[in-house]
Amino acid sequence: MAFHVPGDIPDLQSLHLRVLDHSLGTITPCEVGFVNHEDMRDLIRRFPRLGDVFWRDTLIDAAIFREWMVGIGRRDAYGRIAHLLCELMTKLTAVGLADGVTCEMPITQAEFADALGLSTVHVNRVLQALRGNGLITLKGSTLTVLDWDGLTRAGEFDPMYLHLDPKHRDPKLAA
Amino acid sequence: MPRFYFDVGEGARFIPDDEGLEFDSLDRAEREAALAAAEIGRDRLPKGDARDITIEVRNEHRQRVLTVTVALHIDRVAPSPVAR
Repeated sequence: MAFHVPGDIPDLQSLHLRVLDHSLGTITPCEVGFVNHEDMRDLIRRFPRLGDVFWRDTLIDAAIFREWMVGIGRRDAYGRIAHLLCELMTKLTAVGLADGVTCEMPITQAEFADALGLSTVHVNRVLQALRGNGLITLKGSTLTVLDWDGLTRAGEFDPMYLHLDPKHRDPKLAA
Repeated sequence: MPRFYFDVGEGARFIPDDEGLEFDSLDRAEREAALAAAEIGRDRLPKGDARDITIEVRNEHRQRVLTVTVALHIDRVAPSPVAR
């Protein structure tokens, strides 16, 4: 499971496989670019350094999947949701779609629940607890992080697995 | 679709649900309440800050329609000394 942000290439996961073994969907109106797999493979054969870059991208996907596996297996709901909010804020800030404090969070509670293997009622309870503990506010679909250090502690969030440029590792620096 | 509200009680703590969720039947709402109570119990009960989790489900008129309770009982006993 993963939430992608603009600029991601989620379908690299199936570039060298015959069958797409998972599905991709949009949760907001999106502009989607499609590149023929054969054209992509041809491009990589002609420019091997692009192959390195795309390979690196899928390795980072794998790092994100590992982090999620640990979360779903070992973190309680409070930690899982805090971790996901940190991840989304960091990724959105890195691509210039958030300022490190506030971002659009169009993901519904039911979608959070489905992604993290929780019930919707539990997600609602945890979001209220995160609010009650002064870590975030959620007004409509706008998320504001009030206490970044507190939120990263709650989610045991260490952005290393996102392998971002050092200047994008800490959304606070963008604020 | 009818809307249901799920108020969560964790020991002395009470978390009211002001937003509610839509389910097509009371059976579905009951299933969600049971699942949520079990999950919240899994997270909270071993920490010992609450010994039972209750979820009260209310209908769109805010009338209570069911309550789910998940409790954890630990029975620690002092065994009598074993004769050697």
